[in-house]
Parts: sequence; structure tokens; C-alpha cells
Amino acid sequence: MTDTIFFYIVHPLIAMVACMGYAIVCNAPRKEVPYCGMAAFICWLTYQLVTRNGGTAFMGTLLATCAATSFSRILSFQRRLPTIVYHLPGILPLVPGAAVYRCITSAMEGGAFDTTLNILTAFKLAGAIGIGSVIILVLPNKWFNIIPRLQRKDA
Amino acid sequence: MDNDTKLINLALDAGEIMIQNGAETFRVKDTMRRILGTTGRENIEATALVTLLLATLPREDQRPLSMMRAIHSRSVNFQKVCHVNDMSRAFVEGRITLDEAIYYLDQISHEKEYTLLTRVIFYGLIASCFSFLGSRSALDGFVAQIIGTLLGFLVHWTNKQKMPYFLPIFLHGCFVAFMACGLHPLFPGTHVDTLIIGGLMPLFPGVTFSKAMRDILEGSIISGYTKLVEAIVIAASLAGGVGVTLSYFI
Repeated sequence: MTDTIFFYIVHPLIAMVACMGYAIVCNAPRKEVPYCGMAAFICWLTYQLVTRNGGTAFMGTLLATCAATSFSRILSFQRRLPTIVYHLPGILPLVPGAAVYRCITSAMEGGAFDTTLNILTAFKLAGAIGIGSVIILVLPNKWFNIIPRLQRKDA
Repeated sequence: MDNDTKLINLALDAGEIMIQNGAETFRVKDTMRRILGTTGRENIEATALVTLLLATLPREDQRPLSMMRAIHSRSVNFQKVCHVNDMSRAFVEGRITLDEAIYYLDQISHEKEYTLLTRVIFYGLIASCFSFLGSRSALDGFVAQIIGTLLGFLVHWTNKQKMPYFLPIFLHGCFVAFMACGLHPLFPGTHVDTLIIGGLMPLFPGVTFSKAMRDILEGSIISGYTKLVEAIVIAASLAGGVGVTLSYFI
């Protein structure tokens, strides 16, 4: 039970805070910062659900990117702002930092096989982010306009 | 200045602010076309590359008006992208006049960013959160907060210096690894790997990579390809910086 709460609530909440920080570093408008965090929450929750229920890291990254990108497109329609504002902070937790770090350490230790394997892993995960983003970004706008647009006060 | 020149300058200024602040190339192109399209003329052209904007506006009695704008700097500022987007939408819908649009664009280009202190604190927070996610250790989170905050100051300083493209990124990588290895003996319970990964997270070229993929699939092959190479250069520079520093400590 404790692990469930930790991985499915605490982890996504921490990812959410981190990505709200990233949105501020990228100078996102103040009112959009919580929405950027929500995109990251959904993204990391999806990743945890997939990887902790038998899914691979590639599948987790792919599905989490799809979830975050879909949410970003809905927000983009609702808030009348570019998708990129919500999308980039949303997918930040999926950036394969650990894989890149392992590439560096294995290259330093001189293990050619391990280095190649880690480089391929990093590219595979980065590719999953790219594929997941693009699959959702090329879908027609009307698919994400199902929920009627709410009034944005500052529009 | 006649209205056509004002309009083409407005389109180029809008495009310049957007591309300098991290908008995707296809969006810049689209915004410029929409602004020029308010004339209702045919054969309007607007092209955006990573470092160059081109716009052509046909005129009835004279030769077409064509202008080019070079892009010298690039950073990420979503607020400016959003405001230019709002301004162009209002102009295209006829809610503001050409002169008002020029005035708003001038205001947008001088908009203030978050203060340095806010930005560096949030750099620290990003590093702290990702370190904690990696190791589940609160001590790692605390030490990563220190590293991230100092990294924020370094990023701010390097942004103001004129250096070759890869050098600041290389220095950021060196700094994160140096601080992680330097603070590890002072805080024995910490993990060097999660400190470095957490510290590097805000610097990884996720933004560039994602925009590259989008541009390629939207048909802006040159821009997409250029950004893809840029992402690889950033990642390699960061890895180089970390690698060089780690090789000294290990």
C-alpha cells in the first residue's frame, strides 16, 4: 500500500513540482505553470503504471509521451496557446538522463559493449519520446476539441 | 514608411521574437503567413529557417517587396511566444490595427523575465526533485538543490558571455560533475550518479530534440535536421564535460 501511494502519487507529484520549476526556467506565463505541472503529473503517472505492471521502459516512455502530448493538445485548445508550452515541460521527466550518464561512465571504464548498449538505450528512449510526440501532434485538431472551450479571462 | 513595409516588418519582427524564444519553425512560418495574408493578396511567401527569416509581399503597382532577417541568438521564453501568438491572432481577426500591433510587439520584445533569484531557485528545485526520484534519498535532494542553484548562476553568467556554442554546455557538464564529486565526501550518504543526473536534467536537449522531430514531420526538413544535429552537439558537449571531470575524480 505504501509503495502504491509512493509510486503512483508521490512520484508523479515530485515530477509535477520539477516540471513546474522547468516551466518557470523557460519563462512560461505565470498562469500556465500549474497546467505544465499537470501535464508532467499525467506523464509520470502513465510511465509508472506501465513500467510497474510489466511494461518495458520503451513502452512506458512511448505511452507516457502520448498521454502528456494529448493532454497538452487539449490544454492548447482550451487556453488558446501553443502546444509547446505544455508539451515540453510535460515530457521532461522522460528525458533519458540515466541512460546518458551510464553511457559516459561505461565509456570511461572502456567497456565498448556496455557503451554501445547504453548509447542504443538512450537513442531508443529518445526515439520513443519523438515517436510518441509526433503520433499525437499530427492528429487532426478537431479530435482534441471535444470539450467545449472555456473562457480564458486574459485572452 | 508605407503600410506594406510596416506589415512585412511586423511579420518579420513577430517571426524573429518567436524563433529567438523557442517556437517551432512551422509555427513561425504560419504566423508570418497569416500576418501577411491580411492583405488578401495571392502568392505571399514566408519562410523560416533556424537562423534566417524570409518574407515576400506582392504589390499591385510595384515590384514585390521581399525582406530577409538573420537570427543571431536563441533561447527559450514561452511567455514571449504566447504573447506574440495572442497579438497575431488579434491582428488577423481585426481586433487591433497595424500600428497597435507594432506597438504591442515592441512591448513584448521588452517584457521582463522572471528574476534571476527565482530562476536559480527553480534550477535547484528541478535538480533536487529528479535526484530524489532517482534515489529516494532526501539527502540527495538537498545536495542536488545546492548544485542546481549554483548551476543556475553559472548558466546565467555563461549566457552573458560570448563563447563558442559548445563551450558553455561543456562547462555546465564539468561544473555539475565537479560539484557532485566534491560534495560527495562532505555528505557521505549521497549518490554521485543521481546528483549528476538530477543536475543535468534541466540542461538535456529535450526541447531541441522534440522541436526537431516536430519540424521534420511538419515538412521543415532543413530546420528539423539542423535542430537534430544541435541536440546531438548539446548532449555530446554535456557528456564530454561530465566525462572529463569524472575521469579526474575516479
